[in-house]
Amino acid sequence: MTDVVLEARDVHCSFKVSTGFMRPKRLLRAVNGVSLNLRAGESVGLVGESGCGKTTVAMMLLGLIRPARGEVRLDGLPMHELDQRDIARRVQPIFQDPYSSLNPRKRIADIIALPLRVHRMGSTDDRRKKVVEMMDMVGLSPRYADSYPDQLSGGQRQRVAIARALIMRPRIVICDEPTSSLDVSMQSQILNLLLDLQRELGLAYLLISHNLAVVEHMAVRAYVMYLGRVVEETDSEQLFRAPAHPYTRALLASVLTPEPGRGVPDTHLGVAYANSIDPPSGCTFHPRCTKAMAVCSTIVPHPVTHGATRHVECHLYSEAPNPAPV
Amino acid sequence: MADPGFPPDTLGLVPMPSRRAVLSRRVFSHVGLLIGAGLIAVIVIMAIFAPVLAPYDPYAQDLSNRRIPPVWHAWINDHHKASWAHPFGTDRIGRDYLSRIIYGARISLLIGTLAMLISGTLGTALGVAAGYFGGRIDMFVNFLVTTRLSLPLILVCLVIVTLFGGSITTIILALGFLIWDRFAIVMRSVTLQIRNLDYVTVARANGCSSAYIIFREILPNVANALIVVATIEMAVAILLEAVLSFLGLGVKPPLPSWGLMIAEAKTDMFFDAWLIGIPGIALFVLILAINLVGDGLRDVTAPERRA
Repeated sequence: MTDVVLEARDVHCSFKVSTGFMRPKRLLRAVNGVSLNLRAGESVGLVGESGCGKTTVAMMLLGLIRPARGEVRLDGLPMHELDQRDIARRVQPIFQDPYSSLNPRKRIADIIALPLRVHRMGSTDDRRKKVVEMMDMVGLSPRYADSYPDQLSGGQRQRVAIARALIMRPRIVICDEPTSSLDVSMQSQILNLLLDLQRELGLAYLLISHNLAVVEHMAVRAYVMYLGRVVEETDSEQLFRAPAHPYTRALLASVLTPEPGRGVPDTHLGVAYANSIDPPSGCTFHPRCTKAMAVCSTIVPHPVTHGATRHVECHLYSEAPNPAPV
Repeated sequence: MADPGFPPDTLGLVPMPSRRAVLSRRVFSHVGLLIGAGLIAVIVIMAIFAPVLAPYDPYAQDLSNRRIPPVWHAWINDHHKASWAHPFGTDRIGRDYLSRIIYGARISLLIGTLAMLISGTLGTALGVAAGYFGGRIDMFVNFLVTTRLSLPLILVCLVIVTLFGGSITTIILALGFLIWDRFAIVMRSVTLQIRNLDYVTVARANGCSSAYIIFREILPNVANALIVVATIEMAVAILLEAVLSFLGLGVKPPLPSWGLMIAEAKTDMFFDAWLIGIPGIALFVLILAINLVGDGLRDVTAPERRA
């Protein structure tokens, strides 16, 4: 399993945002040189806090946003040369909110059959048969086929979204926070369903999440994003055992534990929120970093390999002689 | 409930209620909708079967029977002329008022419906295009809307009637091309909200065309707002016709428009108030009924309350 099915090569994406009345528009660099790859049948996590560009990366990998620089390659072909339908045959999305990802005016069967309809696959009867098959596979009773989304619970809705994503038998599924809006008991059910389906259908997942437990449970590798850049890439075992980047450590430290008496963890991240319109100089993480050094505020760290960690962008691991920590 | 061809449920669960059953239950438990729909049904039947229902020719003058008060004056103050021969009395040139009210329903409904359809099509197309495509198209539509909003309706109608003459066609076209602004504004903002929802993103990721997304994903979800705006605009069109006719800029006499009837009766207001009261009440009832139906339809078709 070494063949790369989906790959992003140094992709950039920025948006023009209004900063207020009568003020000039500013550039928000949502994604600033991200490279990642996904191999057939593999689960890869993409973690980071809100606003770090995870969803923009997902949009680029789905072919919905064309990167301003760099390119996305699907099965070795540049994405922007492919028709959106060809992309959809191989890559399908599952979104966070099963309330906004299902059209409230459509029947469940029609929602699940949407990709088949768009690709004009099979007759109406064939599609019906496939829909029932798919509903069975994701654990939905076929009696819901003619229901509307508002008659279903959140977990059932997410099963519908999964059924819709898989009915084309894609090779890659981009899961943007697949469990974040579900309650805890539902989360594990949906994750186990995703794992079962992966074994059965040989899917590759890109799991976008801010929930590290999801990544630990599902992914073999993980990318950590901060302000539009991948700051660390490593096996997920290594990520949880020995995180390299200070940001990753802070993320891990921020996980809430169900142990009574421990209270809310102190992440040392502070309340300062990273601003992607006006990113800090040097290493963009330095204003919030507990290990910040003088060099951090001036020089952008280069990606280096550190032990089992494949890729980390931090001056702590630079080959250059380390100045004393401030 | 019709079985859609799925295997019978092995668990023996109750089947999900069908859409029609749910809808009819909601329609028949909505009092406002039932009252509004009943009133509109009466007015529509009145308009369609006017030649059968009207006791007299609405244009026939009978100068020996002018200003006969309505029948209830016979009971209240023993008016010797009031009788069932003219239930709503006669106007100042002796035309039967009931017949004119019945025929007047035709004009109000015709103008209201057609002006609403024209403005609805125009405004919805502009609003959805602006909301969905954004950018320059949005800027252009916003320019059109602000331009339209800066035009005083009555003044523009005055110019149009002066130029093209006051006929029903002129009024319908003038109103149709003037009152689309609310459609455009509402449709634009609703479309903007919906186009960023995940189900539209899924459709785009699957390579659906813009036409498919607009007609199958967006329009069914803006239908609620559309119904409400459509009923408001229909009421507005009917009232504007009455206003224009009252000012002498609408339909021309002797056509029996309710607005025109009010205008013709204004000199008699202090002596024979019912001449103004009856067409006024007719207008009020029609507008009220349209608004009740609009609110009711919005309530019963809202997906969040479908259960």
